[in-house]
Parts: sequence; structure tokens; C-alpha cells
Amino acid sequence: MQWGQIKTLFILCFLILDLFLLQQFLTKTDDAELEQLDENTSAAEQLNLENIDTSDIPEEQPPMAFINGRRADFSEEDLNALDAMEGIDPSLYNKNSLYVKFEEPIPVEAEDEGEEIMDKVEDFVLYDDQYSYWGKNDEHQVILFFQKNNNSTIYFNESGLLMFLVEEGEITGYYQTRLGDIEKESEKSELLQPIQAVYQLYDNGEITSEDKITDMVVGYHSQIQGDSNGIQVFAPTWKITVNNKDIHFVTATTEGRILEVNENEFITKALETAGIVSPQDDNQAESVQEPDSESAQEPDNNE
Amino acid sequence: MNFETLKSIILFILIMLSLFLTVALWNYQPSHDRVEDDLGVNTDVGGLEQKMTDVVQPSNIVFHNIGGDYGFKDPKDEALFYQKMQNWTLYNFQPVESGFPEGQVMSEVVFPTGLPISTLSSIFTVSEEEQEIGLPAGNFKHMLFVLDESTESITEVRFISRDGENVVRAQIQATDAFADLISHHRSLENKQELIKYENKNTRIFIPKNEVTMTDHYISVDPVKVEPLTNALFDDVSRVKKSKRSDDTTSFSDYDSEMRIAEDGNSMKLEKALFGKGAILDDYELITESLAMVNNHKGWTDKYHLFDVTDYQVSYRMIYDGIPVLSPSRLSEITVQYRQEELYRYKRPLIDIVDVYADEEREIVLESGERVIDVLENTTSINQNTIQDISIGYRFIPSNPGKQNVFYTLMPAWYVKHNGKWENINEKLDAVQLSKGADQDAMGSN
Repeated sequence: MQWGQIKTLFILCFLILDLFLLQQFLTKTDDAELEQLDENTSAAEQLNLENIDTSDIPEEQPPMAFINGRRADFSEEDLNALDAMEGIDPSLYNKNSLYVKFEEPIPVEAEDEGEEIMDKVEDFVLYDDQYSYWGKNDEHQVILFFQKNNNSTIYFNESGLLMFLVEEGEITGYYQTRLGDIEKESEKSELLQPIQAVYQLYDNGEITSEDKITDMVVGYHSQIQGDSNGIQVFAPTWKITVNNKDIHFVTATTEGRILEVNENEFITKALETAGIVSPQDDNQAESVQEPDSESAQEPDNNE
Repeated sequence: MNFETLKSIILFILIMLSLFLTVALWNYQPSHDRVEDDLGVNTDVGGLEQKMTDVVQPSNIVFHNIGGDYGFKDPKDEALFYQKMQNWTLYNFQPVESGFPEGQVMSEVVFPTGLPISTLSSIFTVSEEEQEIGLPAGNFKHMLFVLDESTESITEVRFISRDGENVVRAQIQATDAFADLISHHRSLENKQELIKYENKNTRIFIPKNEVTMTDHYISVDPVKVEPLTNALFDDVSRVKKSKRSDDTTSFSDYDSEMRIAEDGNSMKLEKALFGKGAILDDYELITESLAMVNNHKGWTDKYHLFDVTDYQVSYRMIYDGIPVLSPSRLSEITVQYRQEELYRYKRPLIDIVDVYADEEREIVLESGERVIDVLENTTSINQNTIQDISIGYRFIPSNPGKQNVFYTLMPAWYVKHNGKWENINEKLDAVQLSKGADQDAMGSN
């Protein structure tokens, strides 16, 4: 009888204790969320104050894994597939850098972008669906495509590049490298939230009042491209377009660092490693190539 | 009965729930707050931590007498005496007109590189009032105690920059300072005569006569790479190791790369960060780089601060008080910053562990007089680019081209020009031959 009463008492005590603990636990989780929310609101307020338009940025970014990979060799099958294509003259360096010359240059319209360009050349390109359009560079007369991994672009990497060479509005050939053995890290990393990434740009003076963020997507980038044999580690990276023209990259890691990416330098370097001299200096273009008189004369004929 | 059982079950559940909630409450960590994760990771490469006073050491202490200049024969005596000096209190700093004082009895402390005046409060004793006011801006490489024998006092202390342009004077407060200094000026048995070499950028004192030293046969241990990667990368789990085509081993993540030389004896870290921020001044460069290396207990041997230029700080390995001057990759720790961020870090990955004293041989080095004479007649070295002249050691592997455990530290004459130390023993030998012939010719005249 007495034991029964004690039990009732204990049940009451523990009920109260549990309620208290539960309440504590809930406030603690709330606090943590609020803290992050606070950070975001203060960044948003600051940007608002400067009239920086952030209405188009994604709301929130779920955790994402880092990836790593190394430059892949083109396999026997790849080469057989290339041989089967008509009208091209492929050459391979170090098994992993492919240079293809079109026997018949393919004209592209000045206003052609992404899909339209790829539609015209896809029959001559391996793995064409693994690359996404980046843009044209008039200075170097090239069209850049970057390799994708699960729909996220790997920006400016010499080992995941598809670069078409243009002369007089016609594609004369391309240079291609591929990243292979791409592994995802098992653990996903908390990413820098979009508003924080934009705030980094503002904080570093990359954007000023009245600017508008017109596009913002997450992709991958590695600042260590090292050696073509080495494994590269890619960090999730924000690509932020401002006013439809300026493009900035901010690592989506929690530190949020602004990257300095120079397209022209990148192309110059890629052309150099590919052993291709920019088509502007057309006479040297052939000398780098293996002596192959027929196709080598193509550019001259076009002039 | 049934009701009692039910109560027991409810009680049991409640107790369990309270336990569970307590544990959950203790363990709950906001998910974005994982900074403390890497506690307990080993970042100790097995060296020491060093303070500013440990790494900032003079390259030379010179006693200027009317009859000539003298310095310690044994670097150990020099280090001891310098240690004593550090207790003397300095006060009343003020900038004065430029130039080196001449023709007086003076004691001069020469440092390997120009140091910001602000380092003085870390390496000497500076009076408290003075620290509050703040030390004057500027840079010094020479520290001169001007002595007045008639009043038995130190007239003043002068801090003079490399080129003599920037001069700050101070007073000194120490009862025994004058007596200590003057006793060294008068007792010359543990001293050697020095000779001065001067150009428009520098003023150097080196032994006037031949110097007898010994070489040292030593063995080294490799510095562990794992704690180093733990210390230098943000997240080691992300770091990938690969072999490069030049046979170096590379550890890299998305913004940093550490390369280990083919023989495993040196490494180079480079961070591809584009930090925007304040540029570090020389004083901050020294403190930051010290802290960075201390962080992983990276002072595996004795190193002295040897150079601060272009946001880069270099520390030289010191053996028995004598710097090891070549090859640099085995004897120099350099830390370079871009803005406030660590940019490059190069260091040897060897640690001297054993010395085989019975293998030592006596080595006689040319006299400083001849060194200067030869330098003045060597066309390949522009006189005005000479920054320093010193005796240093050279690492000679016992088994060239392979992985080495045994090395000989061979003393030699070195000249620093264009920021690089060059072993000039060959030049001395070469000139000796032609010079000998010249002198014969002169003699016959």
C-alpha cells in the first residue's frame, strides 16, 4: 500500500522533471536556429540598407559534399568511337588530353549560345552531355564548356574542359579533358548560406549599392589544379552573377572566400598546356601540331 | 495488482525518458558549430615552441676599441653575454640624425636582418613608461653602446638601420652595464680581431685572421608529416595524397597544397587564398610566423630569425652558434604572407639527432682579410649587392642523390648577395692560384 503511494509520488516527480528537461531541450534547439537566422537577417538587413537587390537568390542551401577526382585517360573505346566519327582528325596527348580538328569547319551564328552550339557539334564530341556551356571568349576566339558533376558545374578546371576553337565564325576544332573517378565525400558539409555569400561580396567591396544579384548557383571549384596526375579536391562554390554581367565566385565553405578567377589567364594557360597557340597567331597554330599537311592548311584556306 | 504494475511501467518509462533527455541535452551541439571537432588531433611535429627572444639573436657582437675591433671567438660566449644585455633597461627613446658614430669606444650588437624598433620591447627590457608612450617607428640592424671611459658611463645606446639612415637613441639604466662592457673591451684573450667590410648598403665585421673550426658528422631524423598536415590543413579528412610527375608527393585540398620533396627532406606549402585585408607589418610578420610554427611545435632544431623582406620571414638553422647556410631547403624555414593570410610555408623535414664527435676534423678557413680582398677582385659579384659575409655550415649528404640519414656540416665562407647565400670557398681557392702567380710577379718587380 505504502509502496503504491511512493510510486505515485515518484511518477509525479519524474513527470515534472521530464517536462522541465523537454522544455530546456527545446529552447536550446530553438536558440541555435535563431542564432543562424539572426546572422542571416543582419546580413540581409545590411544588404537592404545598401539597396542591393537580393530578391532572386535561392532561399537556403542544403548541405553538400565535397568531391574529388583526377584527370581521366581516354579509353580504347573512346578512341574507337572517335575513329568512327567522320570528318574529324583527332590527336591525343598523354592519353588524357584530346585535340580534335574538324576537316570541315562548322559555322556558328554570332548569337548562338549553349544548346545551339552543342547541337551543331555534338556528333563530333564524346561525352557531350557531361559538359555545360560557359561562354564565348572573343579575345581568344574560343567557346568554353565546363564539365558537370550531377548537374553542378566544375568551374574553370583544366582537367574538365571542352574548349572549341573558333576562326572567322567557324569552329575549327576542339580541345577536351575529362575528370574521372569522381568520388563524393561521405559526409556532407554545411554550406555558406546564399545571403552570407552575397554579404561576403559586399563586405569586400565587390558589389556596391544599387547592384542586383541576377543569378546564383552552386557548383564546384578547386584552386589547386596542380599536376595532371594528381587528385584534385573540389569545394562547393557559389557562382554569383551581378547585374547580368559580372560573375563572382565565393567558396560555399563556411569561411566564404572570394575567388579571383581570370578567364583570359585560364584560357591562355589551357591553350598553352594543350600545345595550341591561339588561332589569332594562325601561322604558329600548325607548327605545334603534328605535321599533317591536309588539315593544317584548312585555316589558311579560310582566310 | 494490475494497476500497480501499470504504475511501475509508467515510472520506469518516465525514468528512462528523463535519462534520455538529460543525455540529449548534454550532447546537443548546434550543427554549424563544429569548430571544436579537431581537438585531440595530433599536431605536434616533435620540436619546440619558441619566443621572440629565442629566435632574435645577434649575428655578431663587436667591441670597437681605438686600436681595433674585436669579437668573441666562441659563439657561446657571445650568446651568454647577449643574454645578460637583455636585462638592461632602456628608456627615453628619440630619433636623432643619421649615421654611424666613429672613433669612439663602442660595443656593437649586429643582428642578421633589420628589425622594427617595436621588437625591442619583446627582446630587451624597456621601461614601462616608455612602453606606454610607444616606441618610435623605424628599423634597426645595429645596436651601439657608446662608452665614455672618463665618466665610466654609457653615454647612449643607438639603434641604427642597415644603411645607417634611420637612427634612434635611448638611455640605459643598469648598474653593471658599463663595467660589463668595458671589461670585454679590455680583456681580449677570448676575442679575435675583426675587420670591417663596408658598402653603401651594409657594414659587416668578420674575423681578420684565419679561423680554425671543426666539421661535424651528424645524423638526422625525419620530421613527421602527419601532424604537419593536421596542423596546416583546415580539414585533414578532405586532403588527398598523390604522386606528381616530378616525383614529389603532394597533399592537397581545394585551396592548399603541400609538396614533399622526392627525398622527403623538405616541404613546401602553398595556399591559393585571395585574402583581402590589412597588410601585415614586419613586427606582425614575425609574431604571426612564430605563432604559426609554434602551433605545431615546428622548431625541430635551433633557428634564428635571419631575414624579413617582402612579407616573408626566414629563419636559419643554427648549429653550435653558427648558421647553416646551404642548401636552403634543408636549413631554412620561410613563412610568407599575402595580406593577413599564410601564403607559403617552406621548411626542412629533418631534425638533427646525433653528433659523432670522434669523426670531427679541424678545418682552417681563410682569413677575413683575404675574403674581402678576393671579393673586391671578383667581377661576378657586384660590390654593392653584397648584403652580408659570414662563416656558415653546409650540409653535405654522405650518400649524394639518395635518402640520407648522415650528413657532414662543413664550415665555409659565405656571401649574401641578391638575397641568396653563396658559398665562396671555390672562389677563394680559384683566386688563390691566380693570385699566387700575381704576387710572384709583383714580388719580382
